[in-house]
Amino acid sequence: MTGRIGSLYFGLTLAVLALFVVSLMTGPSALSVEEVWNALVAPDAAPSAIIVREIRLPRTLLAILVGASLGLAGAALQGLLRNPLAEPGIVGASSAAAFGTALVFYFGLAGSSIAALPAAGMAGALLAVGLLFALAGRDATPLSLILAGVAISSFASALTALAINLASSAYAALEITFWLLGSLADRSMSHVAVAAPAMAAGWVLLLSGGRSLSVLSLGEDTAQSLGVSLTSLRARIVLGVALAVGASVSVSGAIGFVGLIVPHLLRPAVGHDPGRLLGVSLLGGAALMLAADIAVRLLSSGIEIRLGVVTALIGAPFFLALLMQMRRRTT
Amino acid sequence: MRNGAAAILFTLLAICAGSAGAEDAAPARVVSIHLCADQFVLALADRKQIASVSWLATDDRRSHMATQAAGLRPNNGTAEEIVSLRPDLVLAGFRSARSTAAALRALGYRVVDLEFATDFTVIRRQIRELARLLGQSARGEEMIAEMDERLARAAADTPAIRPVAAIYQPMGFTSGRGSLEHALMTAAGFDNLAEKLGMGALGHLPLEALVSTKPAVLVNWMGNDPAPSLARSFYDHPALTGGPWRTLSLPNKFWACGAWYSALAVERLAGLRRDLPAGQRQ
Amino acid sequence: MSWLEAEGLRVRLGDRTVLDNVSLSVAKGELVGLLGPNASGKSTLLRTLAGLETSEAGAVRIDGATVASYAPRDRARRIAYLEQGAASEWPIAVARLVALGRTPHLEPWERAGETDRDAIADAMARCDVTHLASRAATELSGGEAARVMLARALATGAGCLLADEPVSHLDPYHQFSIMGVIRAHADRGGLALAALHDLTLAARFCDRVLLLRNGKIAAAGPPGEILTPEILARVFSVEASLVEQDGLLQVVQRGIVGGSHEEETP
Repeated sequence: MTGRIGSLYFGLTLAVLALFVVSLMTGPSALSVEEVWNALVAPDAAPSAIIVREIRLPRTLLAILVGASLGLAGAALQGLLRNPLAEPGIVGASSAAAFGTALVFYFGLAGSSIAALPAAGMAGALLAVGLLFALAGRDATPLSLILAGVAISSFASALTALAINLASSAYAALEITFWLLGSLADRSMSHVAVAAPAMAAGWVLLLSGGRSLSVLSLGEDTAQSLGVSLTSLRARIVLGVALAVGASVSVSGAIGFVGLIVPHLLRPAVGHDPGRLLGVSLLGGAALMLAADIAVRLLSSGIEIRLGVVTALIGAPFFLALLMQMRRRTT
Repeated sequence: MRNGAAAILFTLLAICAGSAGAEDAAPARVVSIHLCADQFVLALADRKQIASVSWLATDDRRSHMATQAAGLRPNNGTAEEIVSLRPDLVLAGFRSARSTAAALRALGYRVVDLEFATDFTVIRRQIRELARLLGQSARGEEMIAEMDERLARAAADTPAIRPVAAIYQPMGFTSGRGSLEHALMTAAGFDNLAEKLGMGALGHLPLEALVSTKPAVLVNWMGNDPAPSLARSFYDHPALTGGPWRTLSLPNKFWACGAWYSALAVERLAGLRRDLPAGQRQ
Repeated sequence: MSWLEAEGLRVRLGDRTVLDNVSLSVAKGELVGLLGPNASGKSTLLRTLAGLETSEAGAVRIDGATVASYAPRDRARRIAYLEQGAASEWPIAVARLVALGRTPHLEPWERAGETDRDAIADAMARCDVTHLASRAATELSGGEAARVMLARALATGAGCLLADEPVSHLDPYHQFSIMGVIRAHADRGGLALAALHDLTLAARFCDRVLLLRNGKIAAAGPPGEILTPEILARVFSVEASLVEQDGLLQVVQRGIVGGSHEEETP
């Protein structure tokens, strides 16, 4: 079993590295491999160096960081809630994080503090997950989980639209699609720097819960009897999701379905073990996001398609198929 | 006898000329429901002629005549409001509600539409037409003369090889031939990058392409919108701040309407052109 | 001193007193049957002994110290809890499921070592589920699942096994084989406390039985002494008696006792 997981990690890492290279090579300006390589290792003032280091590199790094965060958060939520339909978008954490960030951003509540935006995103995500537990309860059926998530998500999106409409800037109203559908276009290394620490902290918290999540698949009582502290586990997962998802959404807007698709595809490969799913979902999420972002750049001529549109085009049918599969199994 | 016949003929001709297409009786209650029409009305008409201007007229971000609009009754452009104002001339324009204009015409009101001015020829024509409608032709001619004087001064020292400027809006939108921005830039002595790249009135220039083509000047309309927005933070991107170009942020009002005061924007652009270091004026 | 002891337990759930002044002690080598009508408090008692519920009064002691005083992992190494209707949420492999029983022995980052692998293999062999090692946990029959869950509990290597209705809803073969495994666990020096509904099984396999009614201990002692017609009528409201046939004990039920059968509603 360890050998199989080992080769899975190897394969996913290889995929991420390959897509990393492809992403750096993708863009409206045709650059040769040599130019890209030079830009990374021996940068000069040439346009190609600026394009690679200031435009393509931050975008590529963010795709990895955001995709990894969403994939990992999805796997963790599914393990904790014991429900294959849970993911940051569906449970409303992403929408709430978008609202928190937009509120602080447009009303200048942050002052010039750069850490304020990810912090606002985290606060939003934390509120949403807390609310989810309150509404759906711990032993939530798939139905009550989705309903609670839809309620939270709709409310948060509506609040985001309201906040944007009330904002002082005349440009604000045009920017709503960024917050609701997400984009990695025209991001800079400052976005990477501001979000990465919080994401990393979130990853540590989530990955540390791996063993406990495996044990939790036997039920709460059995898990507790085996020495797992449920309160500590819940706190770690909720906080970890808030950190990772909150920071991601604050720099990329709300991108959905990654946390649903990646764990579902990888689950059979790890023997359906929720604990073992965490690490591979991190890598898988990074790979999926890179691929989606590359697709966005290749398919758009002129105005870029929002990243969330691409993930929703794949993810929504996926979600429906999953629902039907679950219905068939219970009937 | 010859003098008498000539006098009668002359008088007849004068009467004919006077009643056919010369200056109309000046309207007494003008209502403007359009931001751009507001500007002309406020600049050309007597204050007592103005019954109401649009609610945007006092927004100093978009309205050049904002201070002059203070104290006048604002309207939201609804048919109900306008009817209660009993206007004898209603000025509407592009982006006004079609249904409102149609409803007013059906009720017998005189509604004149303003098209979006995309170059100075159209601006001159609009000034003349509106001045005539308002019974203020003389003021109209003064306005045109002043505008043309400014434009001439701005274009005076245009070099043979003109420097390249580009409009650069958030998300990479740029404006090519056929847009107002194009008219402003070319009047100031620049070549428009979007035109050189063959783009139409609205085009898209990815950030990467900008870095490669390196125009001398970038122009945007964030001049008077200091509030936080993704658009504003777009201009903090290192690829934009670190570039070899100068950036000019003009107030939004120069983008909202093409009018006589567009010459002020041309003056600022020309001033920037003169400031460019020698090497970049190519 | 008995390995598992409880004194004066009093547990309230909501505004209902579920356990009232319950005391017991179980020594190594004993298999004690916990009997009683529905909602008499059997599950709650087992959960309290396992440390999943807190008692308002009294204490539970294992291996000399109170259960509350142990760190969760140390407690888990001493007490194995087999919950009622235990099931797996995800279709993980049976071998992996049983391996989860070793959790109390491993640090979060630690992998299973040789001792762990031996314990897992031993537990699976005792429960006769070795041939099911690579099957998905959600695709087992009722009897197979019960044996796998028991293997998971035994894999912990804990001396004390608390089983909540381990054989309800199972066919006679599995009822006997599972009770046999639990019996063998006690015989090897462990101890077990099993909540049961089947009085005959209790009589056949248990050294002692504890009868609970309305949260109180109604009777305690060897099956032969306790499963008398009077006590069975009082506690279960049934007409029954213990008989011996071919050297084997059996509870024969004749009917129910008329009059009110006061049952606590859960």
